[in-house]
Amino acid sequence: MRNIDYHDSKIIEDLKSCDKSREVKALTYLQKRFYGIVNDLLNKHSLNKSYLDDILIESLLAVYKNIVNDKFRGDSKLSTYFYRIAENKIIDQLRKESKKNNIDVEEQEKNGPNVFNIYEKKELSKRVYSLLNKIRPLCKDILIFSFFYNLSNNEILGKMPGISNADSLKTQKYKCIQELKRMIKSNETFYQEILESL
Amino acid sequence: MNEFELNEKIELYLKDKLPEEEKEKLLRLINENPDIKSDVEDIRVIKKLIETYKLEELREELQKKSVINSISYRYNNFVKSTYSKAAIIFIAVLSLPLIYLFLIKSDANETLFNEYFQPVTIEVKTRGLPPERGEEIQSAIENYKNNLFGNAVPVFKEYISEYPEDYEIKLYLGIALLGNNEVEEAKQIFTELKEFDDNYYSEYSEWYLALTYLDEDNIDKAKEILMNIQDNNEYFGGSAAKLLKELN
Repeated sequence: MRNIDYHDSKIIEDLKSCDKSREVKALTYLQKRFYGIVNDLLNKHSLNKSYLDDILIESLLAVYKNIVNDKFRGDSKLSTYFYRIAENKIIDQLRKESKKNNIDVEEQEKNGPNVFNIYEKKELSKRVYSLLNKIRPLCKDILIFSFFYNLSNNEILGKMPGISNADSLKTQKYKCIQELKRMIKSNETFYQEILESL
Repeated sequence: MNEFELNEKIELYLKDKLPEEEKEKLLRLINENPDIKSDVEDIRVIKKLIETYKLEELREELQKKSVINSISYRYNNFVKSTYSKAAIIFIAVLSLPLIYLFLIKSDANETLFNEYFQPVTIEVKTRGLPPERGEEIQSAIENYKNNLFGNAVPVFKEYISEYPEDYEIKLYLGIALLGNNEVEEAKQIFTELKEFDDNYYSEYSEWYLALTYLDEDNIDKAKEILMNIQDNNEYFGGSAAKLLKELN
């Protein structure tokens, strides 16, 4: 008999692999597998089906992030874990909808754009994505291994054969950070928006 | 301490991996030196940017596989509406001559179907069933394995009417129906099993659903499903790639 637990553990292995193609393979598999859960939750909470894609993707990314950060301990099935995260996202969405309906339009105009507004957050993410695509691929790799996957310098050296030793890596990392700092600080408004979103 | 070492310490501090003694030294430095405080803030921002970037990168990939824009999801919602059902009947009647033409199977597609259609065998547990029922199912499975699908179908159907959530036997039923040329019923079963959340048979069902469309000469639909299998299906990715090459 095929073992469900083995399947979950293979998925987790792919998500923690630091290899984009394996991560995308695992996530698109889960996207197909779990869309029914989101569909059912939307029905349960009487929320419009147009939210299905967004809730599904954001929940998957939340699960992914927690797996990479070792916050998912594996004491429940992935589907159960996903269910809890997706339900919380839907409840958040319901709260936002109810707030939106109660907010006075004039008050909203007076207060100006709010970075915690979903639309603004998505726009900011896209701008960050576009900006970081301008840095050198070597820098992107070093910074992602270091600050997203939280790999140690030795682990990063194992994944980047072009860098010969730990001192070279530290120097290169420092230069990459300075390069990125110059880029983001060249636009003060953008820098402030990022600070506010932290 | 040079700037590279300071950078490393700040990074470890933000990842909560700096030993306690080193952490206290760094915190004193941060309090005494506004430039170092600013460096810490900058690296905190960079950490956030990298996380945002990585998630956006994956988000873009997942958005390409939008569920709500998928043909099957839109198709399912479309046919549920009353007006669309009336429209379907009207169009079907007008298209009868064309449908007749398209229903004539091409020899090439039939050959491909026969080459790729193989009944999967998975171990079936019959513990917990009454003995005579267990024996019936085992006998039906033997017929299924010997391609005697006509004999297996009625037994599987009767069993599923009593145990509708036995997905293993349901999958066998779908395959036996397909082997017995009862294509529409087979398609319904595979479509149902494919869409279940947390049903690991969805990968098998997706493969057989593609073969069902191939059997019907609906090559575009078969290819669409095969491309998805090629990209996402652990078990049949290789077979789907081979079959796609032959269809193209």
